[in-house]
Amino acid sequence: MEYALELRGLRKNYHHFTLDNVSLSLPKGCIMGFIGENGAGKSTTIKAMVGLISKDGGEIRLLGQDPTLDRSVMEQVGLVLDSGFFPPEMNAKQLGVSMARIYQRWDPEEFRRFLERFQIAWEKKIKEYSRGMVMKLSLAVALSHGAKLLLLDEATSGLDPIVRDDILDILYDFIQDEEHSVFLSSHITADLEKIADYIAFIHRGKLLMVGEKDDLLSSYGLLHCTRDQLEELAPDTVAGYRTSEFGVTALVKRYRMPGDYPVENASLDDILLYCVKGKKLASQEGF
Amino acid sequence: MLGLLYKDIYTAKKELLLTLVMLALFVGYNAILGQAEMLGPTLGVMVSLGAMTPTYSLNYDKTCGWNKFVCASPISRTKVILMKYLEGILSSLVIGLLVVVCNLAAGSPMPSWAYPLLFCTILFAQAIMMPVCLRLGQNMVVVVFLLMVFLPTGLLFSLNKAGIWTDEAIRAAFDFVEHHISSLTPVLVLVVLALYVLSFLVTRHIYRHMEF
Repeated sequence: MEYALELRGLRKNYHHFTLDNVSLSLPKGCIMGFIGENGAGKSTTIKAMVGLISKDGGEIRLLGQDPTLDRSVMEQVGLVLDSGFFPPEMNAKQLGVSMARIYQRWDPEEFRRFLERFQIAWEKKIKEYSRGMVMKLSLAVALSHGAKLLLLDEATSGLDPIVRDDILDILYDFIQDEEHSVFLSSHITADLEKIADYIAFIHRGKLLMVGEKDDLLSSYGLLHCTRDQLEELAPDTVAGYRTSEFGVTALVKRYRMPGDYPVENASLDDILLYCVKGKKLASQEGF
Repeated sequence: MLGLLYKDIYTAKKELLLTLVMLALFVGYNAILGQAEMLGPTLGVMVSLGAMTPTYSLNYDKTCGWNKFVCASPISRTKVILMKYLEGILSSLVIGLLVVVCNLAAGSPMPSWAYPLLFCTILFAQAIMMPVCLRLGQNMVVVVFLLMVFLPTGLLFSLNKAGIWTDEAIRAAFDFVEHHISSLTPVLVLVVLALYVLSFLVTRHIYRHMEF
């Protein structure tokens, strides 16, 4: 299998945070959702991938090349960050002129088509854009230089559902060519449930799980039970649980459950919530 | 790399226009009234502008997030900094031309040997302030620039007041420069260019280790 993105033991140390041996692979032609709570290490991982921060260890391969050694691979990598990074004094037309001299495969017609599709005025200054428009402009730039891999960091956060849906449609169209891939970090798990093929889940700098989304969703389920029933389960069956006045709700691994327990489907939100905030059974160590 | 230059021109359009208007006012005033006394302040403004222009650009890239984009693009960080220094030289040349125009408009009170000195002054100031801007920010650039202007002036004034460096000695120093300017200029240009290259290497080192 060919991979668009490979991380092997990626490490980055800060005083109060460590990105700890993150390893994952994104096959070509797929979308991977990268989820985790705020401060989990999503942005740090993406910044390390594209060279905005230096890594303290590990390997990064984007489209088979190490971007820290060979910047030419970035010709084929599109990046959209949560905050805009284009000069507010410029307009889309001027930006297009600059981009044509930065990216060898810049396609001005493609850029124009995206701007029309996004209803972005050619002459309007970026400082007059809404957040949604800034995100769309970033996406238009990322898609207009022949990128084969898109990296998006919280690109849909803070946007209304219609704009978010637009962006998801574009990403979906983008990967129809099986050479194209998307790595999308978000804490809006509903978006990822719609379009992601793979999910990577990071918590406090550590990758807790990586896998196909459908496998993940079918592997985990929610069990509503009493405290006594919960105690009867093997500790490694329960990923996390929460108690309420009505009893206990636990995120469980379906394939480890005895057959007579009714287990409901869990969403990515549930998996994220119970893994991060759920209590662990007494003999559980980590997750 | 041209894309970076286009972007810098687009983003600095308003400032460039303002600079040109100011210079047009100065030059027009000097030409119409023929007041040579105004040449000093005019040159002061122009040298300041020439010295500060690349630092404004560096600071702008820091504050608007452009560094995040450009450092994730195919362009190497060395090229980003190289372009800032080339823009610095370009702005020095443009200012140099404007100095010539201003001097002619005021009836040429400034000797022609002073042109390379002014050019070197701008490059020298840029060489000092570019790494300062990247490391410590634009506010510190202003502080350093004021120190560069007022520290030597104040020192000279104090020494003069204290009678250590008399008016005659100052005049003699100026005469010495004037008489030996043909041999001093190449040395001065080489020294300033060497400093400029050193400054580029320092700024590049800072930029390569910056995290965004």
